[in-house]
Amino acid sequence: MNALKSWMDSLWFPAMPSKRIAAIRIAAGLFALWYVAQRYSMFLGVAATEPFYFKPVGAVWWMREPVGTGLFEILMVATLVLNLAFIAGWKHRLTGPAFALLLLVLLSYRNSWTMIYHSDNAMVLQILILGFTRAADAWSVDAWLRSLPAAAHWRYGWPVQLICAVTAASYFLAGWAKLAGDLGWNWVLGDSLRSQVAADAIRKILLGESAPQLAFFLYEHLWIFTAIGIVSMIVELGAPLALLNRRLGMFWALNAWAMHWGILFIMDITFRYQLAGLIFLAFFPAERLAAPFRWFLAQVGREHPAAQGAGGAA
Amino acid sequence: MLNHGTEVTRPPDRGKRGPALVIALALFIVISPVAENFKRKPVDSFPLSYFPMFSFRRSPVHTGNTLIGIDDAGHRTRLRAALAGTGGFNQIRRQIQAKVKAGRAQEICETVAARVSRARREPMPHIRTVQVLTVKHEVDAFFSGDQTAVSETVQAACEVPEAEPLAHNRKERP
Repeated sequence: MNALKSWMDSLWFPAMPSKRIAAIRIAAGLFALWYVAQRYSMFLGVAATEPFYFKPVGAVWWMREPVGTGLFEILMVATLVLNLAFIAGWKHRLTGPAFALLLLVLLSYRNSWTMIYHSDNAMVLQILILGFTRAADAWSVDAWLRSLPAAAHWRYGWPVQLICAVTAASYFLAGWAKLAGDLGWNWVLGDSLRSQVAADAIRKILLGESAPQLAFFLYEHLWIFTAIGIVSMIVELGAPLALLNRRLGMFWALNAWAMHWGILFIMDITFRYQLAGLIFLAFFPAERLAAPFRWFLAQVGREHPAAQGAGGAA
Repeated sequence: MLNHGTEVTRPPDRGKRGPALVIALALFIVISPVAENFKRKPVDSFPLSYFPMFSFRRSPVHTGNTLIGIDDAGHRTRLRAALAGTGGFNQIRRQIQAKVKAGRAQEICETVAARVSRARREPMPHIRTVQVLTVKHEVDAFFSGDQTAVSETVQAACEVPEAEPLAHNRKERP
């Protein structure tokens, strides 16, 4: 019993540096900022679509009809402002949960118009975890103002583990859905996957878009889809194993990341958060992302000793 | 996950009960959509999903909607989905599908025709008629180079109105 407790403790409560979860907070926050800001006009356009298409999901499931575009724009602006506070780690105890909840509402509303963009799921879930936990005890305005301790601690470890677990769970669910479908284990034979790729390409062509040429080349080679199907199923159903061991986790994350790049080349479907590797950041020592910036600052300081001295004095 | 080569100071186990409950609750909530797989009419949601994409059995005959522009000489051009709505490609595709299914394809047709009349890029200025079609293709034949539809149903047709002063065209992204 003690051994199990100890194992569970090391699994869910590993001590981690506060900079790791801070790095994940900043990376996820920057992505969310880019994602929403770049689509500002498009989101407004979607919100102005006729109510016929409105099928509320997620946090707005209770809505009977869409809100006015003015209110929606206020929601977007508020989300973007809180997004900046989230990245900066300013008053994180308030702004973290507020941003996470507003982003959830914003993207639930955006996904309530006939199409759910599943690529948004992981970003929203990860930011919910980051928003409600101590993700701003390092590399933040809060840390700078209050000289918060940044020693390795389990309180920084469990949210990172939870992010890994939620990520792995989503892949496991995707694998399970394939097995639970009409084809069961026959899904891995590749015929179904090939028909999905084909349907996607035909849809694009019918509506005036170009389909990836790779889809046409691969269609004749069913064995390639069989191989992709087997690997996909191993990656998806094997996702929970990624939680058990650090190296296994990184190995799984790299394979899942490669799978998304494969989807891009074969189907021209762009899961940006996944392709950028941000969804898998929690599986790696994310704080090391700052190393190039530190090196750069060190180089600048070496070339401009006066600036370094001024910085040091500050 | 163990730490990554970081010096570790392991404090006492105080205060872990709350986080443990949060972990258990969060995982239960995230995994709960798995129940949809056992329902006759599963419902997907956001951000909690049972991730049904890629899990369906597809027919060897593909049925889909297409937007066609026809010029004075009778030449047919496939029009882009972006002319029919706002949002990402698949979102607009589903909106077209929803209107066709509801017997309201004429509204899509008129939206597209109005946008075609404002567009300046070739071959838009020459298009006189817009059609919303439901087409069927044999998938194997389609990928062998024969993209001829095995059947076409005209859901709506409309004339392109006279050109008005140019409105800006904005590129929309999913």
